[in-house]
Parts: sequence; C-alpha cells; structure tokens
Amino acid sequence: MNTFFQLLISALLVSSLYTLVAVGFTMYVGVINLANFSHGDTCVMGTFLLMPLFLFATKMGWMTPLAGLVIPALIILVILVTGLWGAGIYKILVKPLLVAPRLILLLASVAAGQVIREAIRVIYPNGSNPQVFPKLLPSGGIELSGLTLGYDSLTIIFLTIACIISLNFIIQRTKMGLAMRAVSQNSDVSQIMGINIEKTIISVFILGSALAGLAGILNGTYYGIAKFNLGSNLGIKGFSAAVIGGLGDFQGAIIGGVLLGFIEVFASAYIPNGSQYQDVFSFLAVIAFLIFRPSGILGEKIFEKV
Amino acid sequence: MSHSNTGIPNSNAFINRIITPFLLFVVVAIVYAIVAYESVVVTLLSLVIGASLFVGYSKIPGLKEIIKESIRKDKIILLVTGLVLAIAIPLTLRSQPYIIHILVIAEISIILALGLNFQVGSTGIPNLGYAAFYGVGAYASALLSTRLGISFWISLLAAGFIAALFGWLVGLPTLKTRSYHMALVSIAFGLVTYIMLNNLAFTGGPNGIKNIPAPEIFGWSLFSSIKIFGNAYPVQLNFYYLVLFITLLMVVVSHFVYNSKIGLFWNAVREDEIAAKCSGINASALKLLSFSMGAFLAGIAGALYAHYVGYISPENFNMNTSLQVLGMVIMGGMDNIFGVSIGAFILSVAPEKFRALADFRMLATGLIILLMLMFRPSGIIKQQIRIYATKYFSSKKSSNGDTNG
Repeated sequence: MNTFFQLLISALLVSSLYTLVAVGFTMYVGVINLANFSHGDTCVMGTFLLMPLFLFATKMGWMTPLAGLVIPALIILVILVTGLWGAGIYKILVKPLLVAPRLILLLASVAAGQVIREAIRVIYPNGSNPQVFPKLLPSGGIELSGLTLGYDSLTIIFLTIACIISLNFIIQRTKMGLAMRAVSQNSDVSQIMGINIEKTIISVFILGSALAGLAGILNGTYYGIAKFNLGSNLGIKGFSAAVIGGLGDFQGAIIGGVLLGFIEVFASAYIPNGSQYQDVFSFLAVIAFLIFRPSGILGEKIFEKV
Repeated sequence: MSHSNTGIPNSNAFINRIITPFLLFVVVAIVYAIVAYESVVVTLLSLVIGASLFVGYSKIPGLKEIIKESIRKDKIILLVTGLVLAIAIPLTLRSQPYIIHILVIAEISIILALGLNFQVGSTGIPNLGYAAFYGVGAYASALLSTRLGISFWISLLAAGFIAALFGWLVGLPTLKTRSYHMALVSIAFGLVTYIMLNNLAFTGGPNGIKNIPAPEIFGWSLFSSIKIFGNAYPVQLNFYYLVLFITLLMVVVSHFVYNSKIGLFWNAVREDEIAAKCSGINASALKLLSFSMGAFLAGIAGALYAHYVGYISPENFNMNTSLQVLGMVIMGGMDNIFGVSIGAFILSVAPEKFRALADFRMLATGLIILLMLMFRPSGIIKQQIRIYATKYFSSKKSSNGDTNG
C-alpha cells in the first residue's frame, strides 16, 4: 500500500510537468493550428537560464539571508524571459511563415528546437554532459503514517495547480481569454468583430512559453539534473498529452497530462522490466488514441471542409 | 513567360555552343576542389565561388534561360560525361582512401535523402523519425547476415522490405488525422526504435553489432583490393562502385516514380487532400505507398551502411540523423530529385571538411534548415512545374525556357 501511495505521488508529479507543457502546446494548436516542436526546448531553456542565475546569486551571497525571497524572484525572472522568448519566436519565425503551408512551419519549429538545443550544448560550459540542478525547494517533508510527503513534491504539485487555475481564470473570465477562445474558434470572424488577432496570438505565445519555462525549472528540481537534450522528450510528452486530451482543448490538455503521467509511472512500476520502456508505454497510449479516438478525450470530431 | 526571353541571343551561336562545356568544367572543378583537397581554405573558397556563381545564375536576367536551354539541349552528353567522371575521379584518389570513404557515405546519403523526399517533399507528410527506418534496415540486414549467414544481396533486399513494412505500420494509425499527428508518431517511432535497439538483447544493446561481413560478388569479397596495372587500390573503391551502381539505380527509379502518375497523385495529395480525394485519388493508399517507399530506400541505405562500415550501434540512428537527412532534403529542394541529391552530397561532404568545427555540426544543420525554410523554402533547386504535353507541344515549347527554377 505504501509503495502505491509513493507511486501515486510521483505520478502526480510527472503529470504536473506534462500538464504544464501540454497546456502551452494545445494553446498554440488552438489559436494558429501550429504544432510547435520547439516547445520542449523552450522548457530546457528555462532550466538552463535558472542555473547560472542561481550560481550568480549564491556567489553574491544573497542566498543565505534571503533564500525564500531570491529563489521565487529568480523563477519569476526566468519565466518572464522565456515568455518574451515565446513572443520573439512568434515575431521572428512563426509570423513570416504563417502564409506558407503548415508543413514548412512545422519543420521550421523542429529546426528551431534543434537550434535551441544545440546552442545550449555549445554555449553552456561543459554543456554536453548532464548538469547538477541546484536544490531550489526546501528539503524535508511531512511524515504521515510511514509515508513521506516531500515539501518539494508538494510545492511542484501546488504550483502546477495554481498555474492551471489562474490560466483557467484568464481564459474563461478575462477579455483576453475571450479573445483567445474566439480566435481559436474562427480567426477570420473574430477579426471582423474587432479582435486584435496579432495581440491575442502573441499573448498566447507568451503564456505558453512562460509555462514551458516553469515546467523546465520544475523538471530540473524534480530530477535534480539538467541535460541539454531533455527538451525533445519533454516536448513530445507534452504533445502526446495534448493529443490524448484533444488538441486545442485546454481542459483536455490537463486530463491528457494527468493520464499520461499515471500511465507512465504505473506501467513502469508494475510491468516487469518496465522502467527501461517507460517512454514506450506512453507512446503506445498515444498511438492507441490516434487509432481509436483521434480527436482525443474531449476533442470534438473534426470534419474537414473544402 | 518573362520578357527576358527575347534577350536570348539566337545569333550568338558560338556562346551557345561553348556554354555547356564551360558549365561542366566549372562545376567539376568546384566539386573536385571540395572533395579532393584536405584544406579548409580550398573548401571554403570553392564553396564561396560556387555560391556566388549560383547567386549570379539566379539574379542576372536572361542567364537562367540561356543555361537551362543549353542544359536541356545537351542533356545526354551531360549525363554521360557525369557518369564517366563519377567513375573516373575516384581512380585519381588512390592515396586518399578517406576521401573515397566520404564519397561512399555521400552516396548512401543520397539514397536516404531520396527516400525522405518521397514522404516530405512529394507527399507532404512530415517524418521526423526517418533515421529509425534507416536503423531498421541496417539492423535487419546485419542480423540476417551475422546470425543466419544470409548473403548480402538477399539481406539488402530483405532490409528494404522490412523497413517498408515498418513504414507501412507507422503510417497506418495516422491516415485519418492531421499532419502534425504524423510528425508526433514519427518522432515517437524514432525514439521507440532507439530505446528498443539499446535495450533488446538480440540487437546487441548499446554495443551494437560488430563484424558484419562484406558483400561478395560471385565469391569475391569486397574487402579485397583491386589491382590495376600493378597498383593496389583501396578497398573503399570497391564499395564506391557498388554503392554508386545502387544509388544510380535508385535515382533512376525515383525519377520514373516522380514522373509517373503516382508522383503526380502524391503532389495532388500534398496540395489539397480533400480535392485529391474528390478527384478519385485514393489518398490513404498513396500516403501509405509514399511512406513505405521512403522507408524502403532508407532500409536499402541502412543495409549498405551496415555492410560497408561493418559495425553499427544505436547511436548511428538517433534524432540527429533524422534531422540531418531532413536538412539535406530541405536544402537541396523538396520534391526535386536532382536538388535533393545535391543537398545530400553537400551536407555529407562539407562537414567532413570542417572537422575542426565538428562540435557545431548539429547547430549548423539546424540553422541551415531554419534559414532555408525562412528565406528559400524551395531549396537550392526549385521543384519543376510538371509539363504534360505531347511531343509536338514540348518541342514547340522548348524554344522558350520556362520561368520556374
């Protein structure tokens, strides 16, 4: 029973990470029908931005008295930078290619991911090797009848839930969220209705990339290591979660992320020799969804029109 | 038709006569300089000269038409000369087996790029895990010949068909879905194949497969060197000719497929799947065919690679390889067989010349793909507009060059 609860917690943790990535992915698809394959590498950019900042802060001696203040500030700074990066990606890469066939844009996003990945490897000192990620979150935890709930795990889960709730608020209750929903339904008509499409798309890119930066930081704290090429895996998992939930659907991405995390953790725990094939299980799940329910759990069936 | 057509100097017969030999000389000189000289300066200089000539070719008005016209006129002479040079040039590189090795790898890359071009270029299906099919072919043929002792020729074909089967299976779940689902499934397949090759016992795990036997032709092993006039040639030369033969075969086959109805239907599916379906084209079957044929070529390339190098490991077939082949296709020109071959040649030879910068190779590949897509998405050589006309028409048309290209 005890192992089961431990597994439950790690499944929740993995789900949180996947959900954060999937939400960004699904928003891009919803708004401009783009599968942004550089999304996972944006996460890793967040990871690798935080590490030098943390080292710098430690060197300056800010950490010892004010750790509880400096670390959130650093995280917010990184999130802002990745958010701006998302806006830059849209301005430089996506916008000029919006008129081209979607295949070109998709391939360009793959190449952009490759450029980010390799730039991190080349620029970061000793970047080809895995790096130790600093401990950002408090160690220790609550003991509950032989079961430890680490403060760091609780923080990750709590942060994710907070982000999802506030994002949900933005999308459902604010004017900007209304614009996003309108653009994702029909961008031409929403333009006629006076919505500034460009502004809406940019805000989606900022939000998605900021979440990706957060996901990268949380991923680093959870595993304790950072590697330049973790992004391709993280991005594909996020995409898979978005597909399972229904591409373009915000709530679907959350459900997909949670489902994918649980499948991965429990399959690799209970299937003999499963931990080696952890990724294989999640991809099998995605392929099963593509065959039997290509529109995902929440997605509506798409009828293509001429 | 642009107005510059009138600028073709029909009277200037002398220029028209020497233009083909001149072009041939320039191209061969640049290629030879890049290939044969182990000097970064020479390579860089030749690349710069080649690039500036290319820019001049596409920017100077009227020049394009003249050159196209002369190429069309002397097509057969050019092809024969090219073939003779492809056979003769390596004979001059007797003391540089490493360069012949690079050329063999370049030939294998051409086969690879042609396969991916069917999928990405002709049909418009993104395949981001192409290296997995390459790996499946390499492992299939290596396992067949090391474990079962099957001869190279049979395992070569078997590798192609096994890879094609995998291509078919991977294509199946995404027929009814959108293009980015295909991208996801292909990446996932690439990762799964990589994990499997690393973890399964019979593929040798991360150590790969060693001692893959060399091909034999009528009992004569390709690992024994040829002697011509008492001079022993490096064994790489044997492979060079074997792979050259197979590559040319594949180029010709691809050319015919492209010009057949299948190629046309692929293009139709790429441009508008619904319209293609409405015109009675079986889009699903054609997409599967394109995927399997691309995978077949990858399998053949993999088998050639395995038997040439003699050692394979999962590292040869990871995501980076997929992206490199993608770079070749995009740089050369999607859906243009000649362009794709050029792209494959450049992107497999050039990195060997800049080995000092090997660390930046993947960064450069990513940048090349990105910049090409942003500024010249059609690649070095544009895809040609298909001309379907009777012989009467085409002979009439050939007097005025077409404007694309």
